[in-house]
Amino acid sequence: MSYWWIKYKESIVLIFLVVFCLTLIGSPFNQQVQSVRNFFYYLLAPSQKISFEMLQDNSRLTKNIISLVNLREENLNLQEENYRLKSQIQQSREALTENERLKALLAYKNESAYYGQLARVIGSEPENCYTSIWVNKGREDNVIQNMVVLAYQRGSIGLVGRVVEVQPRSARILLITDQESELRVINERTRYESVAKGENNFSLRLRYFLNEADIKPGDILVTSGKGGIFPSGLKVGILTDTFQEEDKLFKGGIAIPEINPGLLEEVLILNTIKK
Amino acid sequence: MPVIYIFLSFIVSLVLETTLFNRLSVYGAKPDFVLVLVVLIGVRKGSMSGQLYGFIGGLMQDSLSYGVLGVQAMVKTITGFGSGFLQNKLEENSPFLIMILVFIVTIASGFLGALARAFFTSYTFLSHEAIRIVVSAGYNSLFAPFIALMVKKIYPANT
Repeated sequence: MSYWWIKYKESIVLIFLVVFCLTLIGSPFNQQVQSVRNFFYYLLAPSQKISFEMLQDNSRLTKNIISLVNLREENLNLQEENYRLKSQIQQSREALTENERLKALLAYKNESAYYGQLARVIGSEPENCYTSIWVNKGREDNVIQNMVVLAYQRGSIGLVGRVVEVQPRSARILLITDQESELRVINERTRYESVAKGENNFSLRLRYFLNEADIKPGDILVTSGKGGIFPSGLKVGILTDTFQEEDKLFKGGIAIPEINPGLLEEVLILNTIKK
Repeated sequence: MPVIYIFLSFIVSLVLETTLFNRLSVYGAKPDFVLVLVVLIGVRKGSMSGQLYGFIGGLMQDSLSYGVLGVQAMVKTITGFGSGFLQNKLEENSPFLIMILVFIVTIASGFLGALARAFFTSYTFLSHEAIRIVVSAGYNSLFAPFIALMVKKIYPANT
């Protein structure tokens, strides 16, 4: 026995570890597997939060240094800007009244909307940033599984994904760009339905458009509301390419998501229960 | 003591991978310091250390990923074991050789991981995944000489 162990100990340990991994892979997603996950996550979560804060502080420090270097030039610019701003005050007054109108409209809209809470993105998956992210709101903030997550980018609000895992103070969001993610979408212009599936990159693969579907690049895709998780009308992405599927039964397409998960900093988690 | 250093290195690597490295992301690819560490530990200390650290590092990485637990652990265990065959055979002072080794191993382990996922889950390997693996290999090989210096500090004698 000892001879075999001395000669083949590396191989024996390798076989043992690989079998253990295969057992983990083959085991259903149960409490034991989850507890292994939680152990490592609790170990890493504080460092992730500190690292995120440091990144924020570092960014501020860099900005301060740059502004000190440019102080003299900035001073001259400020004097010039002062005159310009005075004339803009009048315009701002106009904007203020417009803003009030818009607020009133939003308040009206909120009457029929869902509850929501803002959360900060504290990390993403180690391998690929288009699969899942972690946010700093969790069970203690009443976040539960399958809550819908939105974000604001480039002037519009779009769908990010849904909550799939909840810890006391953090939650994992499965992004719509993940290969495991599938959702029903609808062409906003022509109302033709499709299924959007993530591809682990910054695109979505669209399937099951009817052959007669009137679809073209540039069409906006929104959630259909039929999957049971995502409410209808949330902006998902923009169609960039359409083609005939190989089976000739359906049309397919490629879409660019409205929100780039790689650039996310804050998200809005929507409650599944309406106000 | 080296165990603590390596363990801390894994934690720092994973924190970087999940936060700062998002800004370096190209085609979704990021540097994988855990893999680089596992390869270099394997080369320095042999198959046994390589596979044990590979298993722990992979399991830590799996726990931060949404998906099947065990895939990264298995891939990194095998990677660490394989790297151990190069113990005392590789000129460790040559950054260029280290870069080439890490580049090749990253590509091999990337495809091994994809294969494992395709076999055990509903994962489909798409062409852009290959690009992601190659970009990740490029990143890893760039950082590898610096991580090699760190591994040498942790394990000064090649015993």
